[in-house]
Amino acid sequence: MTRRVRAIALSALVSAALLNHAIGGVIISTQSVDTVTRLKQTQRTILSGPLVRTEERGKASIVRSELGKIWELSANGSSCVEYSLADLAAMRRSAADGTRQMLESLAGSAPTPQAQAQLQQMAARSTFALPKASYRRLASGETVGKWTCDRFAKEIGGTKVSEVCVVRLAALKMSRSDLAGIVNASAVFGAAPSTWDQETVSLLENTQVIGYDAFPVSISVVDGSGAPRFVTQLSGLTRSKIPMKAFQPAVNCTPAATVITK
Amino acid sequence: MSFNFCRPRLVALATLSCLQMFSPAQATVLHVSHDDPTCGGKSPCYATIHAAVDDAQGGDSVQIEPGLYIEKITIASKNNSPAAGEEQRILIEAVLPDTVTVSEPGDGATVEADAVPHPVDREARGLIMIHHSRFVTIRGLTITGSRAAAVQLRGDHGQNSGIHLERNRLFGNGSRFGEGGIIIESGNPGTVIINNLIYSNRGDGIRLEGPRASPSPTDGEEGEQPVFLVQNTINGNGWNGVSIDASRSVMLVNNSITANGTADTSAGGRFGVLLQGSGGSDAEGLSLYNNLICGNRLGETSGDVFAGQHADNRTPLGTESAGLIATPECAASTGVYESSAGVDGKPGTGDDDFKLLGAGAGHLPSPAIDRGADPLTLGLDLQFDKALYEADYASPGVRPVDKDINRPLDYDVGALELSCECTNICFSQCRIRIDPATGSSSESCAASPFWDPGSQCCDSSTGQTSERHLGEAMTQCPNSRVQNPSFHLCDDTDGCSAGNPVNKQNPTDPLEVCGPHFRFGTLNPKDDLPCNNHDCCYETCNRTKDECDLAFNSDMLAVCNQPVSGFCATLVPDCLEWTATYFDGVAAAAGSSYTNGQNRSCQCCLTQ
Repeated sequence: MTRRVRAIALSALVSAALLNHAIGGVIISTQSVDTVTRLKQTQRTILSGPLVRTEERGKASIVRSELGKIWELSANGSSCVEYSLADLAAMRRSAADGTRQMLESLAGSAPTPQAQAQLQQMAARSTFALPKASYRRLASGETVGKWTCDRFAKEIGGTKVSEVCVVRLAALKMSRSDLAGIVNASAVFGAAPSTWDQETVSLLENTQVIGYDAFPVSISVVDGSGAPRFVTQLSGLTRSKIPMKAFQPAVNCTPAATVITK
Repeated sequence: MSFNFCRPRLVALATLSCLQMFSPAQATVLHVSHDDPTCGGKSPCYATIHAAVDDAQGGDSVQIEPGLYIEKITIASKNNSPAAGEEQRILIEAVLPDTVTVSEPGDGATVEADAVPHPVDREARGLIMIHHSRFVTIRGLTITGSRAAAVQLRGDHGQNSGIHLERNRLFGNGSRFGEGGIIIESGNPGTVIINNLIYSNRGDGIRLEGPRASPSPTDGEEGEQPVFLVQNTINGNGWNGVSIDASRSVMLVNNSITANGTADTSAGGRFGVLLQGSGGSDAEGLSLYNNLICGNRLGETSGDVFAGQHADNRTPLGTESAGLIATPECAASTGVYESSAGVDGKPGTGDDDFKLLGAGAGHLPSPAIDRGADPLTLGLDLQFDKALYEADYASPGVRPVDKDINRPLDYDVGALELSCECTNICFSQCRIRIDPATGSSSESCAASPFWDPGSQCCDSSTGQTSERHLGEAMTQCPNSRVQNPSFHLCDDTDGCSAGNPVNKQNPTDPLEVCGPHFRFGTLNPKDDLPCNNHDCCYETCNRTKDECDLAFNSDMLAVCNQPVSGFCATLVPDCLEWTATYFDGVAAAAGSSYTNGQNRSCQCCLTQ
């Protein structure tokens, strides 16, 4: 466990003393639509200090960075699966193995010896590169819902993946400390516990490019034709008392390793 | 009915005198510019239209540069010789359409207009007044702000013949005495009013008056020849759309006469077509073909308008006379025109646009589309050059555009022919189809006569057919391959044929755990997923491999970035890694798949 995780753990111990109490927090609500299937869904991220809970279609995830664990609760609360950092690493290895197999398969059908060698070299790598995200300002002073925001194109590896409209964090009466839970989760698990939260973290990492500490009010993911595919908007941002039990799993949470190896 | 303009006596005279008096070699182009004293270096140059008109001789052309011309124009005694004929026609036209506006001197205020007593001598009732003239054309002018009519053709002893008013915009003219767009006094045989927009004038859109008193000496000779009102849009005028004295011989063809009678009260009539005076046998001089007469305030017609020959005319109810066609969708202008008030949203202004309402969801197309008569079938080609009726208000040579598969006639009713968006000459037939279940209409491009279903090879720009080769487009014609129309695009996609980057056999496979969040493909060809879209792109003829691969990359990135929360969200960076790697692999290795896809979907059309 790193020094950073130990520090978070200490903080959580203090929080644990208040298990039965409500504590101050922030609730971020978003609404998404798939422009092809027209399916809509709502998501919530509940933050209180280092503690994070996400909710989607009745299911909930409790993210405990200080413990290096994520608890996934089913819609009716009848089941709980506990994912550890080790489980996450195993799944990443599995995914990397699958990627290698795919590259080897492609190498077998490569049109030229050069292409075949190139693919075999790629397959031999132990890790694969994560492309960097960058932002480019498109417009200012747009209106999304009740917010006036600045629109940016987000590109990964030179390819536009989304358009993001952002407002100043201070304009929402929020500070970086309010978002500590998802920033910590991103550091511990390699990513924040929702794509919305990942955008939030990414924007905070790009404050110099954006020009201020920014928070997204809309994210429009584009597809291969350049058309919006998934459009998500901020639907609510409230400060509230959060019961501590919102961050506690049901008893007898099943370790993921025993579930996914059955 | 047929009309015969041939007058052997005049033709014989013309044979003798035209060569001497009206040689085409003597024709002059007179230029007019209100702000450039040199007319751009062209000569002769005039500052006013009326000065140029005064100097114009038979066969001359007055070309008017863009601008606002505040003046009254009198066209007097032009070609006023029995020897004059079509060869001596004087053309007065705007160099560019919709750029020349003629308006009334003074402030043009309505109050002043009302204060002016009604002229008794009939000599000053038009901003442009024509008398004692023959074979004169006025084309492409905007005439507005007249305190009487926009154009007056004097009658009786001062009458004209062979006057053409083509493709003009007349709006905002008139007085409380009923003058409006055009007044044609008695006589004036061979007048052709064609492809004009005549709207929002204070009185009648077009008024054809009867003899003032006893017939003039020339009435007996020329009075039987009709006046032609063809393909005009006459909308929103204060009094009647067309007011006709029962003694007149008039032919109305393909006119859209809508929403007239906007003025208060009813004196003088507020109808689409008003027949003034007694009908009886005189009214048989009035013939109407393929007119749309709709939404006029006090009724579509008044008087025995249909006593003469008529066919295929439409009104909302169709009950005004036997043989009318009920067309309820034309009762409101919104059922006929797309947006008649124009961009500024204000009716009665210079940008009013009478483009016909095309196909679209939730409404029928304009009943004016393809509901006109081909003037050829009415014998009008015998009377005047077909270029007259093949033009519309905006452009020459645009009619007819055949659009409605259910409507046999090609010409649109009114001054504007609705254009067709089909640019592929092989599939150039615009077709409007109406869904009888929903009442909605849609437009598509059907095969033209160039299209040969046997060879299926047709050059989209020239229409040239050629020999067809299948299955070898990438080698036979890599730069000129075309889509094989028989190929069923996207029917044989097979998901991620090289395997999903996520290992499906591993129980720790994130795809198994996180379900569709990281799914790039399935075997179901209908699934809109990156691998299927990529397969489909490869077999879309003439898409490039780079285009397809880049779109594939974007589609995969979209899958990775879709809204997800919880444990699976922490795998999004891995999904982005898989995408980058898979994209690099496909870009390097999938060249043969691309070639196979193009060969399946494309064909060569090789000219021997």
